[in-house]
Amino acid sequence: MISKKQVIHIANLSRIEISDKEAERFQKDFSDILNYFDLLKKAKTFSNKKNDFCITNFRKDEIVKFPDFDGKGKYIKVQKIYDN
Amino acid sequence: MTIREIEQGLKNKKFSVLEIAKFYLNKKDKVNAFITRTKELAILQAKKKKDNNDLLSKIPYAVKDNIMVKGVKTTCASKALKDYRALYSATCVERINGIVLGKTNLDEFAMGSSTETSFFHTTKNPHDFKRVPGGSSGGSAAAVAADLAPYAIGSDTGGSIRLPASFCGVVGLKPTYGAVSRYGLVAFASSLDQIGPLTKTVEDAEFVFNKIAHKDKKDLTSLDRKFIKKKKTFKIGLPKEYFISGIDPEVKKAIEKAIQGLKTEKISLPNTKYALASYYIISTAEASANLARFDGIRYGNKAKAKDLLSFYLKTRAESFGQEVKRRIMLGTFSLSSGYYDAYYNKAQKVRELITEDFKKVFQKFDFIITPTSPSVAFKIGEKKDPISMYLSDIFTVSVNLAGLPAISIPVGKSNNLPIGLQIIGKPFDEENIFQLAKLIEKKCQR
Repeated sequence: MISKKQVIHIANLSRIEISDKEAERFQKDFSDILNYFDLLKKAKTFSNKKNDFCITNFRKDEIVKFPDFDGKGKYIKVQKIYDN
Repeated sequence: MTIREIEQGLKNKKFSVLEIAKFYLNKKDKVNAFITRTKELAILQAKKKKDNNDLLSKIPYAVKDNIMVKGVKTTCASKALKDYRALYSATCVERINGIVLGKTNLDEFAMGSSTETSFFHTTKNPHDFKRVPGGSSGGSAAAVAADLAPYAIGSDTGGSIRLPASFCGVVGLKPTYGAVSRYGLVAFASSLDQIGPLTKTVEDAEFVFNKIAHKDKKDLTSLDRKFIKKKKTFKIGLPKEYFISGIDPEVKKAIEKAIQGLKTEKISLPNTKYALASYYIISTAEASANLARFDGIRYGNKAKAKDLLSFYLKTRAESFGQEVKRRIMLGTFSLSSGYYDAYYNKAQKVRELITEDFKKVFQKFDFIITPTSPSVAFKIGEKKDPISMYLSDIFTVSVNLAGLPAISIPVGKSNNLPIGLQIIGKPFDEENIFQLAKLIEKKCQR
């Protein structure tokens, strides 16, 4: 079971604003889903080795010029976010 | 029409490249398969001079709307990107170099099994308009089934090509992890995502796969194509965990009929029961990181707010639908301090077990055959709670966890609704999968 307070905390970490009503709905959903996930507790796992999906063939970094650069010097232009 | 039929038609001068493109562009989309149709672009591409040896450059096709085509809207079926235009094309789109008919509908950010989570609309199953086409590549599968496109490109993270292929009665290939470059695919879960074709025949799937399977320096997980020797006889395993009592008896019957006469043996993949939970923990964890970029700063939907934090909070609240929010938050939860070991780490270890299960079986067997889905297409609005929706993927997620190739092919119908058979192969053994799939395809046509 997950508390409503926890749900609001997770929403904040996820940078998603949720209403009180949404928090209640997610609380129910997450409780059901986490309950289902608890099935994994029964799995007899032992290995600690890395799975097959680790990338080992890194390429060298190289500087490639951005084709349609919109900015000044090193800075990319973005929209104004907030006023001082 | 199939790719092969169009090739013949072009050869016999029954129609020109431009005429066939127009034929498809003028078709009415009665199933809401498309989000965007790209008439101008398609005509421009059709008029370009073609290299005679480059078959796919002459064939029209549809692209799932989470794969970028330069200059065309790439929405991921999300409000977050509803007006976003791609600045470059995905590697697979460049390699195909064909005629793009449009961008097809999907579940928002490919998160779903029915296209019902799309911000725009739900695609209808061409075999029954009251039913879903499956997801997340539901628009691609419906477009092919309704012959709005000869073939389409989709993406498969936990069954998103194979499930809609099964529900719509078309062929869908999820290639080996690393076989096809994902450059230009909007990432959902990077250790699971793979691009593949949805086609009318196995031969067509082979055409498209042969074109797009290629190492790409822009996707570090992509690898050189390997070829495993063509086989004359096949040893097939039927995992008992996929032929359980809960599956639709008509589905079971159709699969059994399709494999009659083939050399099969009952096998076990004992950790199958943990696959779905492991998949949903890993995929949501990766999604929570991948979708962090949709913060409204560089592109996409933006909210009005006083300070930076509330700008993020409001933008993301407005941008994402319920299912995407749910998955981002689930992923954030299983990666958060205090829960990481119990959920994320445990799921990774379980993933190891599932991969080992397959490795063991493939020491003795060439293929594993299962139903693609326990049931035929369900009704629009039928699955209301998240878990019952997640269970639609129960037969497809293991393949993504283990990075294996798998194909879904239509093998029959139950009450006019298609049934899909899944063939799972060894890594990079697509060639032999095609061989076996053609054999079964031929048998089912008789």
